[in-house]
Amino acid sequence: MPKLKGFGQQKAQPLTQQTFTVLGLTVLLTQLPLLFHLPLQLTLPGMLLTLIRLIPGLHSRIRFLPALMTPLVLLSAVAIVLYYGNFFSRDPCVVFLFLLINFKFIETRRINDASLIIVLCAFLLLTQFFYWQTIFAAMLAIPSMFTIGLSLFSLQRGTSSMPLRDMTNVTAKLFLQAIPIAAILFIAVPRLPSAGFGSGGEGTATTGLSSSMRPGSVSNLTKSNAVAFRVDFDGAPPPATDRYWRGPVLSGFDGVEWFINPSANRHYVMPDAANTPTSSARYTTYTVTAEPTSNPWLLALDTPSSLPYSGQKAGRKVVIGHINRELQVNATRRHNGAFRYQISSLLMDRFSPATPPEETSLFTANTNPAARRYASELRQRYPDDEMLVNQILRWFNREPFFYTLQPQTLGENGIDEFLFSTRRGFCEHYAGSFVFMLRAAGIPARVVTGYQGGEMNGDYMIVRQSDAHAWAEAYINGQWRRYDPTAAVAKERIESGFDAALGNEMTGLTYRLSQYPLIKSIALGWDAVSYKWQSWIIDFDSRTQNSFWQSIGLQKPKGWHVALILAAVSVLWALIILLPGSILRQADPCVKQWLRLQGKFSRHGVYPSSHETPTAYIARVSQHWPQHTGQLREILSLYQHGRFSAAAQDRRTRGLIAKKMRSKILRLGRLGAPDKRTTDVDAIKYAS
Amino acid sequence: MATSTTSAEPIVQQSRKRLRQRLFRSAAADTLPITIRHERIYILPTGRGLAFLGVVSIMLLASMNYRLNLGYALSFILVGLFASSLLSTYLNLVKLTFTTIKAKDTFAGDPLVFQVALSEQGHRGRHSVEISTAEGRDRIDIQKGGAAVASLALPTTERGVHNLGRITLSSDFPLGLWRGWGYVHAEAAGYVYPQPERPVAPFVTDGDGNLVSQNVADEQEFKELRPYQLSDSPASIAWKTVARGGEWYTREFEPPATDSRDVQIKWSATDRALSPEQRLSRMCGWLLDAERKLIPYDFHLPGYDNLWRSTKQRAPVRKQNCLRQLALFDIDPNKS
Repeated sequence: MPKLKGFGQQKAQPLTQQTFTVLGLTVLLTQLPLLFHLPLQLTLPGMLLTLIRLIPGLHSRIRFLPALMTPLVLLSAVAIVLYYGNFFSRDPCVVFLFLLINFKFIETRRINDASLIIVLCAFLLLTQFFYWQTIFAAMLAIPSMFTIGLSLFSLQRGTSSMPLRDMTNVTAKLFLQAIPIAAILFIAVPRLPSAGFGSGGEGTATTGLSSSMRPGSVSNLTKSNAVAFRVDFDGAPPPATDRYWRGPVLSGFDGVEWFINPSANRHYVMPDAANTPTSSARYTTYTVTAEPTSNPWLLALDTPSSLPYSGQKAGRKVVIGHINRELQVNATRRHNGAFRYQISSLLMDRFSPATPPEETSLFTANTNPAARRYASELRQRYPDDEMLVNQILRWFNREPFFYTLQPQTLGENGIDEFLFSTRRGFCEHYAGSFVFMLRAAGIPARVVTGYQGGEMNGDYMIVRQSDAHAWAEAYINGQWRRYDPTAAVAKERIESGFDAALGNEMTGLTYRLSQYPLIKSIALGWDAVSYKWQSWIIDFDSRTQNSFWQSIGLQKPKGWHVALILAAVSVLWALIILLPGSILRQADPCVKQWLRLQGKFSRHGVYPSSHETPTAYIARVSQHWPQHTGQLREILSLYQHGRFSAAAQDRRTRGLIAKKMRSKILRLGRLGAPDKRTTDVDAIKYAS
Repeated sequence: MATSTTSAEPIVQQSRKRLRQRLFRSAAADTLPITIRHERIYILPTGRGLAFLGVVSIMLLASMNYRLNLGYALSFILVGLFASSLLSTYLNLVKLTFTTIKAKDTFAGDPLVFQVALSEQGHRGRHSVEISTAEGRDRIDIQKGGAAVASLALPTTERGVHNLGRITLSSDFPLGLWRGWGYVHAEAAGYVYPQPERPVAPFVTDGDGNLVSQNVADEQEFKELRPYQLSDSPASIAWKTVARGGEWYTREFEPPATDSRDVQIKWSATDRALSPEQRLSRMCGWLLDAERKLIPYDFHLPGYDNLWRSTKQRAPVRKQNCLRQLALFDIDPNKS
């Protein structure tokens, strides 16, 4: 097989300077997005090596000793282990691959080295999606993907170089042709309904609610404008005052900190049994798109009335969480990226639990004597629980309490200090001290943290970290009732959101900027785009896929249906590209007939020459076939008429002329052998 | 039954032969010009293409495992790229036309250069088209609607008629992920003359024995200019007048001033002690020398009826015919 031997020889050929430069560019562009995610002290030295190697002139002068390669690789492995503490998890492996590409690049001389680097770069390009899948990430991937194509092309061209512009055009055309195939594969290739084998380890949690609350923990969150989650409501969204997103329920207390009572998760309840809808109650069903989180709980509006589920598997809803005794929704497994779930809620500020509250909901640490004393005074005056609660709320409202993000730091008996001296605090201060006083008065109570509010952006709602909130629940007359002491102090916090309640207190520049109408509308527009991105690209899963098939009238297509669709689309795609007269290339019909005429003569060895006018061509052809001279002249004049006359500028006339040309060309029939007298015969043939 | 099997067997063999011809074009059955159509084109992924496909499948596995939809998108775009480069590879070869194949006669030991002319019929520009045979290869680009010539330099060791053999037209344009190829097998051959003996042995004269090659002056006396004729050698064109923009003239030389008689370039005139190939080499050396110095000669090889008797003028056709006789001469011990 001589051809294989030939290709083997090519592999050992040195790279051209052009290929080398394009390859270096590919390496750098592929590595660029990873700089945002990997430790710079490991990645930058590698990229620096590549940069140095790319300096023109060094290519030929400096020889990197192959003996240096092994110590370099070992050194990088040691550095990785020192940084991460291990080697065989995801991040160290990505860093190692990253550096290996740099090392390979500096010793690259031959074509097969370059092949290896291109293949490794393609994989490295994927690894950035472990860390982010934003629009920005996708945009950063485009140039490096393009240079991968370009370096393959440059490698193929080898020494017969081509202007970079032409190469870019060819590569761009290939990528454009690739897009339909990529799109149909993206839509049609079945996705696994559940996680793959051995799902990825490290989560990418952002800030969010925590499993415990101490003064300051929620107010820290509110400084962040980051999106906590987004919601699609099936019907109309609930009014602003009803948007209590229930997160972790904190019934444990140690005197300073409120935390999730571990025993609460021992029992799960079926949501339907947990509440009794009344006539005034309203159900709402909605889909939550949560940001990546490492926390186990899910957010639900008010009183969850169904289990959260995601997608459908074999016609059944896949439940992804449980509801515990305190109506906190917990996910059954961790989610590494953003994820979605659907859930229903009852919009009601009270619910009846299946079991009475535990003693822990009465526990108050042996601190804050003043608050205890005040609570027992109130208890004596108001034996009725409801009246007592209302009295405390009224007290909050009447006394000079202030709602602020910058309260004084509190000491050991923080609740006493807050209630009777500083009186400046944030929602966690109000909720915490409220619950403390209720417990001291003998009413079971607990702190609920979550989000309050949410901003409609088009047809969906954005809930941000700045909407984080804490409120209270008290057990009165066999029902857990929601009380929001913050509302008693700063009503506008609940009605119009956090910005209104704070006045001028927010000072951060980005925050200030984000409040300008123009910037705010740009930001909201961008959020809408990234939400669509999230729901159509990132969250595209078996559920979305099924609904797509349904929307084009296919109910649950089987594997071979999908294969058939893929095959049909691919054939159609190939035909459009391959067929010369395809809709993509609608040539002038007269030109088509002219080419047909030329083809006829070319088959007999008389070729059109590029520097020849049609008239000269016909004259030359007529010499070879003198018997057809008249007909050829007619075709020529038709062609010139169709191409160049003003009368033939509309499509129809040109079509008619082309038709005439066609019939005349057909009338020529089979051509005889060309008249050889005038052909150029090569000297050697003539001689022999 | 017996008759049917006996009659069937040649048919089976025949169809097998036809299939082999269709697949591999092992016999020189094509006539030029020939346009490459789809049925002649084979395409398979190259090693690099397989590696590319391998990494794309690993990327797909990673995307599945980590549920990376952007990973799927990236992998699918690369799959699309793989597919679109397949079509480009095909389009790069299809509808190319082989117009002529020429060879310039050569001497054994020198490369025999075949010039394969291809033309593009206005479909699209072709890139990195490789024309190869078992012995030589060349890579060319062809512009849209243009033509190009690939030269295949085949190494030669023996005199004779050298067949070009089957041509493989191939290309891994655009990305080197696929290699498309097709076979064309047309009659094409070039003459390989014997290697001329160096240094040239002394001439053998006719009968009297007066003449030896050393007597002939290398320097030739210029005689006159006469109008150029097509058959004149380019070496004798008066380029100076052409360069001045004048008429084309051929320089005529005074034949060397010797009372030379015809030298004998004959099989019988060579030393019998030499091997037949060496004797042919010697004749070849004489012939070239005589032609160069314009010495009249008689040329004859056994088995050929004609005796070439040269005049004092250059005649490329005569020289070529003599050389071709040398190239083709069938050594038969009985004739020597």
